[in-house]
Amino acid sequence: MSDDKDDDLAGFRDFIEGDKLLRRASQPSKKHKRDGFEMFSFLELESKRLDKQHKILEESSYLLKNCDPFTTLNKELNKDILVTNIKLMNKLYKKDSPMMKSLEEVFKGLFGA
Amino acid sequence: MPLPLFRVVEILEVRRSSIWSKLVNAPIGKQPVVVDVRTARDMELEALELVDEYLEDNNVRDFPYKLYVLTNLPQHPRLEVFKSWDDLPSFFKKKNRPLNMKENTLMAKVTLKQNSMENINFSEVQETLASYANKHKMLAKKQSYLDFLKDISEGLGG
Repeated sequence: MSDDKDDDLAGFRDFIEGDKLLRRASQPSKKHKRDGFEMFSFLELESKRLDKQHKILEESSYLLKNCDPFTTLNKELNKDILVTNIKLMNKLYKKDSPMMKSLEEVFKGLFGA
Repeated sequence: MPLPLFRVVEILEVRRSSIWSKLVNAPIGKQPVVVDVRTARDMELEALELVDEYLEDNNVRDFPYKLYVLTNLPQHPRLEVFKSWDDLPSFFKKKNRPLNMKENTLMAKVTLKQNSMENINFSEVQETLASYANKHKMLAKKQSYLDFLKDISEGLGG
């Protein structure tokens, strides 16, 4: 039966095989497909990267320039430093503070009781 | 606009005219450019200085694509130096080839964004960022001084 089939195909075999070869040649290789995907995703990422850079340089720098919280923060910090300094001085100059005790000892050692 | 892939500029001769003519033709800022000075061997430092001088004198803006330098020297105060090709950011290391329809559309978008970047006043932005950074460095110093005072105060109790 298979011999009959082979006989029927005689003369057409070259044509069929040639067609197969042609089809194989025209199909893009897997590597080429992968390269294509790689390039596409690279361009997509690049587009996103540029978007982000643009956002930082235009929007964020505008915000930093026009709505800088520096003045308020600086005022608050200066106030906090002043208040903490006053509290610290009050603690240091108390009669029973460690600094006063140490000074007392030093003076006692130097000038006697 | 060309694809944003690495463009290598090899410095073979350490002479101002030769280096400058190579850099004039390089798409600095439009594509990531790699200046390879390793071939200059003993004259690498001089080559680097000439590259730096070119960028400074001509006010070249390496933005949005940086300029990278391949050199055996460990560092440079202004230039971004790398020892070998493998150390460079792999993002821009792609094989260049003609683009298909889809990729071309995407590339047109990228080109549009690259062009819009050119309209940004970069020196003004740099100034804003530098001033913001300096002010906030000062705040950080004040905050650490305040923490120091609070520490002492807590140590004294009461």
